[in-house]
Formats: sequence, structure tokens, C-alpha cells
Amino acid sequence: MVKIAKGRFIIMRNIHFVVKAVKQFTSFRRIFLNDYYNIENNPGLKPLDTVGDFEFLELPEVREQLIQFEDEKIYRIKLNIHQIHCSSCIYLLEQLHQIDENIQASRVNFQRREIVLTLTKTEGILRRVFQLLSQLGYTPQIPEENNPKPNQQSKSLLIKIGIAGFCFGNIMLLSFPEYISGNSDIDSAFKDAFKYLIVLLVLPVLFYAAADYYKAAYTNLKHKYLSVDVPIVLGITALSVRSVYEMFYLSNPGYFDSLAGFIFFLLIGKWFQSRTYENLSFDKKYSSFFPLAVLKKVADAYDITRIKDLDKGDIIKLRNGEILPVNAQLLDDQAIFDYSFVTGESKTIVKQQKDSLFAGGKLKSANAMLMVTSKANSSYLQELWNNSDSEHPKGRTTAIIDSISQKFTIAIVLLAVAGFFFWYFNTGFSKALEVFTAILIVACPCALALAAPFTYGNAGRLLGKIDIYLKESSIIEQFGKIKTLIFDKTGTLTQKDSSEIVFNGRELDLTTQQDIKTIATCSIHPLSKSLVDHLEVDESQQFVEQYEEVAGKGIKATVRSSTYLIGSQNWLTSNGVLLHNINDNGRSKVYIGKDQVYIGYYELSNTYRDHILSDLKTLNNSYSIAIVSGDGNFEEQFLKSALVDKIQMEFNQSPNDKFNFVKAIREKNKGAVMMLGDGINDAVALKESDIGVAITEDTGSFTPNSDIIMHAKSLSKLTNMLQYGKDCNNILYACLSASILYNIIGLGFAFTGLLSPFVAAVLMPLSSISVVFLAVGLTNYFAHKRKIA
Amino acid sequence: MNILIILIGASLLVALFFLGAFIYSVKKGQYDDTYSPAHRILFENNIKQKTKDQTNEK
Repeated sequence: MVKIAKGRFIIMRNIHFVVKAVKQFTSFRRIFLNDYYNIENNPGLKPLDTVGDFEFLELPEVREQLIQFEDEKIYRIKLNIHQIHCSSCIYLLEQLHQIDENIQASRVNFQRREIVLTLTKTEGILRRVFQLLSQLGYTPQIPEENNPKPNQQSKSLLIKIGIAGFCFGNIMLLSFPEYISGNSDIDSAFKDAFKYLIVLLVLPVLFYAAADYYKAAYTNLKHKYLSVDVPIVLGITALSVRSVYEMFYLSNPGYFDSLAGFIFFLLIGKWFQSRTYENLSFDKKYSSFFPLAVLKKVADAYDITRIKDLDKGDIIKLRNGEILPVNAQLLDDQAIFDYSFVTGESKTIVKQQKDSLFAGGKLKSANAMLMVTSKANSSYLQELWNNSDSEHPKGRTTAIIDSISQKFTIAIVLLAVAGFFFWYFNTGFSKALEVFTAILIVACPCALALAAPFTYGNAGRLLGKIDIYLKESSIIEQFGKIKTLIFDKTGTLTQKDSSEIVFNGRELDLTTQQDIKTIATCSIHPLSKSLVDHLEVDESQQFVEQYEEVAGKGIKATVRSSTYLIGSQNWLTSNGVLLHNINDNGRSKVYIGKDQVYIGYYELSNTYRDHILSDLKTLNNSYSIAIVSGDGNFEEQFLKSALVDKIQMEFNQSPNDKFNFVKAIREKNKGAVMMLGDGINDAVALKESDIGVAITEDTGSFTPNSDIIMHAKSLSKLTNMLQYGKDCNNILYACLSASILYNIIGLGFAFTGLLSPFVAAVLMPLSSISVVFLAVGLTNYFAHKRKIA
Repeated sequence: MNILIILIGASLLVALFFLGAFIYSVKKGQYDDTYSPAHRILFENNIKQKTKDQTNEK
């Protein structure tokens, strides 16, 4: 320990980690942690004190899902760990074999927040590994089954880009002689050889790399819808037909270099836009928040049973901190549940015997026995979820581009036909056909197709730097349409785990405060924990005697020969203490009695995030704002006084109420609605809104149905983000204007019949590249201006 | 001059080899995680430990 202290643990707040870690794992070598702290300055993850038992790992079904490979000697398992966030994490996790000799090897995939472990087959090894990881602060999660798909897609896109790039480069090289010299200098043998090579090289581009565009254009046409893919395919067709004609009938140079380059750029744009956050899951199912298994009573013993296999009438045992996965009836006398998971209300609820309970409550008191009243898939949340399924299509991508490309396609076709007839009557059929194809070639909407991916893709990337993660970057376009912002209160406007505590009553002397803290330390009740955090005095160095805690009521204990009663109003009254000056405003309170005399109560209220209220006031100038909360209306007065009257507030809202609220607003006014929420209780409302923003304090937590995952600390950048969204739309228009300018120049060449392959080879990449630079440059500039990234 | 045709063919073959290498590396998942390998190489796991332990023993 002394040696460690001599080490380089400058960061004081991490010392507790080291001390704990060393205590827990004596095999942690000094060097091991030294390196951990050397790699990054601030690796800080707090190890957890309590970890579960992970009995569910004994179930064969779970094992099957978890174990990738096994033989007589080893297991290979893959786990998701959301907490991986820096290189120190990689280091620690890849050194696990130094802690437990049964861990043979571990390998981290940082991008996907995944770890693959090779374990020696021993009794209970899986559970030990899960416990070890949880103790270190890396809660392992069993990967969901439908994971590998997006990865496969991005791989095939990369291969397509590689092939298109390869062909593009080589075709350019082979076309080059045609451009610099007149026809006379080149040996006709070369010309022929190059010609066939070019055609050979263009085939994989046409039939493999560009295949997705044909499919997209075909499906769009089938639905009578002109997306940007249609003019792209039109351009590709015109280019290839014309090139073959020029090269094989007229022995002129073709346009295949432009074609390959064009497809190469398009694919890069696609890649740029599709770079998503693999480690974030934007659509989590309810079931993934519930435990995998519970203890079911069979005869006189308890069996681990999967949630799916629970049936009506089964008796289950729930332990402190576990989430109730099904609807059930309480068999014990009393239990405390925290339903903030479902309702968003931060108060704990005391349930009595025979009370029925909804799934989703977290047990806050000692172990409880319950009887299952319905099967897992018919719980309240699940039904709410299914009901809201029939809803509007969400996040229509790039509406601006689509509406422009529709007009664009029609205009180009008309222009091409006009050009055809003009030249047909003036010179003849062959010249007319030449102009017709030239117009289709030059008007190929390369720049049009690149503008949106690069603008939104880059903007999304920049937003990711300040911990605002977009599911699809094209959602930025919708920012401009937003008229209403709806906020959830608890956990969104307020901080999740910190509450402000105020004492009301007779002023407390130091010893009393110390004693209260000492007693509260003994209890695991959440309110006691808040009290301990609040009281900034040292614990009194005295023994707590006659400690008695009644779940759901309070504590009775003696310190320094004074007897304290700490707990609910009822608890004090039932112990014969007379209460006075009680203000029942619905907030959580802890009443204190000392030596049978009532001395006052602690009141807990939520703390609002820094600057959020002033931000709301500013936002109110340009948007209409509403606050919906699952909590009671005891904060209404405060909010009304802190904010402007125009802000609509709804309290006591169930998840379903929130859903209806969003729906009503969407139907009432034309603009888009952005909903910001944090808990699973907001999930249905997030789904119904046009843009659902999940506010989270760690990216591994609740994010069902969100389009955007925003770190809580970035909430202050909301105004900037919305403005930036509008900027991006303007940038898009600027890029489109630039591309249309190029098109007009190109059309000038095409219409007069002067479009040579050389002009096309210069003009088309030039327009694409300048649009890309314009988009990336402007998005960077405005991000800087709006103080993003 | 005909040698040029052979040379160009040869250069194409070399380029094709690299394209093949690229496709192979993508399929083998070498681009799956671009963060950890870059950091992993900097971890001095066991070598440093031994030297320090030795100095302590002295």
C-alpha cells in the first residue's frame, strides 16, 4: 500500500478506487495499476460495492447465447460492456488474466464495446468472471442475437469503394494518352488494348459497385417516386451507352473514366453518411432492461427460472435492487418499490400485502415474496408499447434533396428532349442523339447526391464530439421544422441522482448531526443514503446501539445514550412522538425525533441542471415549450416562478398520457415536435414525436426509440444544436446552388454539342469535389461559430 | 513499344494484388476496430514489470 501511495496517483478522487481494488484483489500487482493510471490521466470508473449473483448464468439457454465456442478445456464468450471508454479500459480488461488465472486471454473491441474472453473450464467460472467485471465497474451484458447485420453492410460498402477506386484510378491512367496527344501519335495496337482494358475494368464498377443504385431506383420507380437515385441511374445508363458507341463505332475516347470516378465519389458519400455509432443501441427493447431470470419457489427450494417461463400463480423471490419483471401480487407484509423506471416519478412507493404490482418496479427494501399474476409478455409496458406501434413513418430522410431531385429529373428529361428536337430539325438524327445523351451525362446529379451526405454526415460527426449522437445524420434536416419542444422533468431537467435536501425545524447542533449521519450510514434505504451525502459533518466515533430498522417505516437507534427515531411520519407517531409544523407538499421527507421529542424533518427536492431554466426561457422565444412530468405537481409553483407563463406544464402524467400529449400537439400544429426524455417511461412519447432525444448520463442506459442520444452535460448545447441544424440546411442549399451552377455550365457545353469526354472528365469530378469541400468546410465553420466541437 | 503492353499488364496485376489484399483485410475484420490496436501496441505488459521487479529486489 505504501508503495502505491508513492506512485503517481495524483488524482485524488481516484484513490479510493485503488485502495478498494487492492483490497479486493491481492493479486493486483503494483505495476499493474501504475500502468493503468499512466495510460490516461483520468480513467476513473468507480468499482461497485454490490454486485449481483448472476445465477441466470446457470441456465442452459443463457449459456447457449453467451458461449461462442467450447471444448473440454475452454469457453470462449463474448460480452458487451458499455462502460469501456478509454485506452485505460482496454488495458485493464486485457490484463484480466493477471487477476484470475482461469482467464486465459481477453480481447477488447473498442468500437463495439465488446470483449471476447477465453476461460479455462472450471466450476462457476462464468459467474466469477461476471462478478469480477461488475466489481471493476464494467457491467457485462449478454450480446443480443441480431447484432452482426449492420457490420456486414459496412463491410460490403468498403469493398465496393475499394473496387470502384481501383477501377477509377486505372481507367484514368489508361484514358490519359487519349487526352494529351492527338490520335495520330498513338499506335492503334495500344488504342485497342487500352480500350478493351478500360471496358474490362468498368464492368465491376457498373455491375457490382453501382448495383445498389439500380435497386433503389427500381423500387422508387415502382412506387412512382422520383428519388435522387433515378437521375443517377439515368446518367449511368447514358454514360455507358454513349461510351460504348463512341469507342467501338467511332473509335473515339469514351466517358468511362468519368463514370467510374462518379460512382467512386457517390460511394464515398454513402460511407461518410452511414458511419454510425455501433456501440450505441438506439432501439432497446423493454425486455433488455429486465433481469433475465428470477428465483422461483419450487417445493421448499428456489430455482432459477427464465422470465419467459414464468406462469400465473408462480411464487417468486425478489431481492433488494432487482427489478420486478412481471405483474405480481405481494405476499409479504410490506415492501418498498421504486417505479421511477416506469413512471418517472422519483418517489418510492410502499406496498402492502396483497397489493398488486406492475412490472418495472425496483425493490428497495429487503427480499420480498411475490406471486405472478400475468405472464411476462402481457405486462403494462409491453401492452403500451404494442398499442403505439401503428404510427407515422419517422425520420423521412433528406426530404429537401428528394423534392429537388424530383423537379431536377423532370427538368433534365424535358431539356434533353428539347435539345434532341432542336438539333434534329437543324442538323440531323445523329447529332440530336449526341446532344440528348450529352445532356443526360452532364446533368448527372453527382453533386446533388453528394451534398446531403457530406453536409449532414460531417455535422453529425461534429455533434458526436460533444456527446450528441445521431442515429441517422439526416435527422438534422428536421431541426429546421421544429416548433415545439417537450421536456420530461425528472431526470431530464433535473439531475438524476442528486436531490437538494433542506432541513426544517429546530436548528441542529453538531453532535446531533453527527449522530444522525452515523445512524443513517447503517441503513441502505435510498433516503438514508441521500442524508449521508448531504450531512457534511464527520461521523461521530460512537457505537450505534439497539439499531432497529423497519422496512418502509424507519430506524430506531441509540447513540451516546440518546434515542433517535428517523423515518416516516407514521414511524414517529407510532413510537409516541408528537409531530407539529407539518407541511404536506408531497415531497419526500425524513422526520427526525430525538429522545421522544420531534425536532424537524429533512425535505428532498430535485435539483435542476445548471442553466437549464434560463435556457428554457431563451428557447421559449423561438419555440413553444412544454414540460410533462410523471411527478406530482409539487414543483409547479417553483417552475412557474422560475419560468415564463407561456410554458405549458402537465403533471402526474403516465407514460400513456405523455404519448397522448405528444400526439395531440403533433396533430394540432403543423411543425415538428422534439421530445426530450430520459426514462423508459418516456419511450412511447419519444417514439411518437418527430425527433426523440434520449438524455442519458451514461450511454449504456435507457435509450429506447430515440433518434438522438444526448449526454446530459450537453443539454446546455441544445440551443446551439437547433441553430446548427438550421445552418446545415442553409449549407445544403448553398451546395445545391453550386452544383446547379456547374450543371448550367455543363449543360451549356452539352446543348451546343461541344461536350467532349475531356470536358466531362474535368467538369464532373471538379463539381463533385468542390461540393464536398464546400459542405465539409461550411459545416466545420458553423460548428465553430455555434460553439459545437 | 510492345513491351509497354506487357508492362501495363504487369502493373495491373500488381495493383490487383493490392486490391485483393484490401478485400481480404476488410473481410477478416481488420477495419472493425480502429481504436484499440493502435493503443494496444503501446501497452508494455510484462517486460516492464520484470525490469521493475528486478530493480526492487536489488
